[in-house]
Amino acid sequence: MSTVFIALQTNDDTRPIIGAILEDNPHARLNEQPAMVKIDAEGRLVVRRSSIEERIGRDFDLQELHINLISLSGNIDESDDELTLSWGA
Amino acid sequence: MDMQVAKKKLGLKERYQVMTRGLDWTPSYQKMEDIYPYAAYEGIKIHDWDKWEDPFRLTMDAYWKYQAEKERKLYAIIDAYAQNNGHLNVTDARYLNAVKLFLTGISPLEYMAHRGFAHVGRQFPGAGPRVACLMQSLDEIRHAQTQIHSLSNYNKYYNGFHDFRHMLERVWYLSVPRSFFDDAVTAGPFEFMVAIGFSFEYVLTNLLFVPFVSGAAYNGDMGTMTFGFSAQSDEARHMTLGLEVIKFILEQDPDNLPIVQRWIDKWTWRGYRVLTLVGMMMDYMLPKRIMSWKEAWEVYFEENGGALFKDLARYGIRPPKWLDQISFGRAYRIPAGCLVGRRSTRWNEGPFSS
Ligand SMILES: [Fe+2]
Ligand SMILES: [Fe+2]
Repeated sequence: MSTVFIALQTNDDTRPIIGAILEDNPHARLNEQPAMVKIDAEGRLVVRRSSIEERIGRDFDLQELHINLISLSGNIDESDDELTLSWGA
Repeated sequence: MDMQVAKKKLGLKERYQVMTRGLDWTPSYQKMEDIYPYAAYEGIKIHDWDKWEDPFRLTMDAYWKYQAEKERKLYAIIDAYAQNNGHLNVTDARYLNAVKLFLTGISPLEYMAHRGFAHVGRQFPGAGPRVACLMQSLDEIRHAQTQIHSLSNYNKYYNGFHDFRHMLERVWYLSVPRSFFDDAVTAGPFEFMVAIGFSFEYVLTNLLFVPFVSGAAYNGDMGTMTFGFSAQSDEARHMTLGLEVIKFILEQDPDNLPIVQRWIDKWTWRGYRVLTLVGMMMDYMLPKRIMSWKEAWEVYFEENGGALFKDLARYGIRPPKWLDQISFGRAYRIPAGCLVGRRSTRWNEGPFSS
């Protein structure tokens, strides 16, 4: 199984996002680096709008992720509710 | 009294359709071949452009909104850094060599990428990739401008920042990045996409921005950190465009495979030679280091690129040629300036090319 990842800037906007990702993906590993975090996960990683909204207490548009996104890997699929990263192989 | 019913907002997928395909039309008084003269000559066969979709489903209206937000954040930090005399707080003066290398070797390529994507965005017959290329073209000019703008603060206090564009055409080691992009923009639109969108953005760009920019942050250079991460936030979209275009081309016609494979081999090798500049910065120019070039290579090329090529194997794609040579280079840390004496010292040929 290959690893997918998402990397985000470390700041106040991303803290609840990172928390939500880690909670929704128990198999994910947090990798902290200067000014950024990289979250690695085997095979698949999902970012859920509802989990982020629960933490920040307001509506969240998943496209807001682009503001603090540094990088990612894997095949992407985005809907109104979820952003999924996955490798087929 | 009538109830006011709020008009239902379109979902992401419908909005994407409306704002890409919905804005396109089929011309009736000019032939498609005349409007898109570069679409066929490279031998790539496309049967249905509508099959291409941006998986982020970003539309121009949302694009402007989020890009404006990125710029606001960026300029707040750049201003604070300049106002605070932040340049006095970098770890060591020699760190600035890394920034000079970036400004002369990388920022002009951002501008070339802007030009390239403007061209390709005009030439692809499909509305989906055209919109994505338009966004990337705007991103890339933003990268060039914000880099020049951020680094102009250093130009007030230190030598060597004043004439980067001129340097690109005259300093010998900069012939590597320069020829890379000059060749890419003079290729056809599909080769350009494989060269820049895929081989450079997807396979190699993480190596440029992620460890280097994190290293800039670690060395107190908030200017570079903020333009770097701001640019990199667009890269996720660029990488996705590159990957989706490759998958799309391969799915459209089996005849496309050998052409695409050849381009991947060629451009991964050439991109690797450009990135030796980053190897140089990371291993020799960061007073406080976050990781070596070799470690960055293992994470972002071997692990991540490995996963990518495993995924693409279903289309018949194999990993790029000359990987053994690339692995040798990174294991022994051979940056651009140290290549003399190797069998292949030219940036534009593979080690085994005849
Ligand atoms: Fe860029
Ligand atoms: Fe880019």
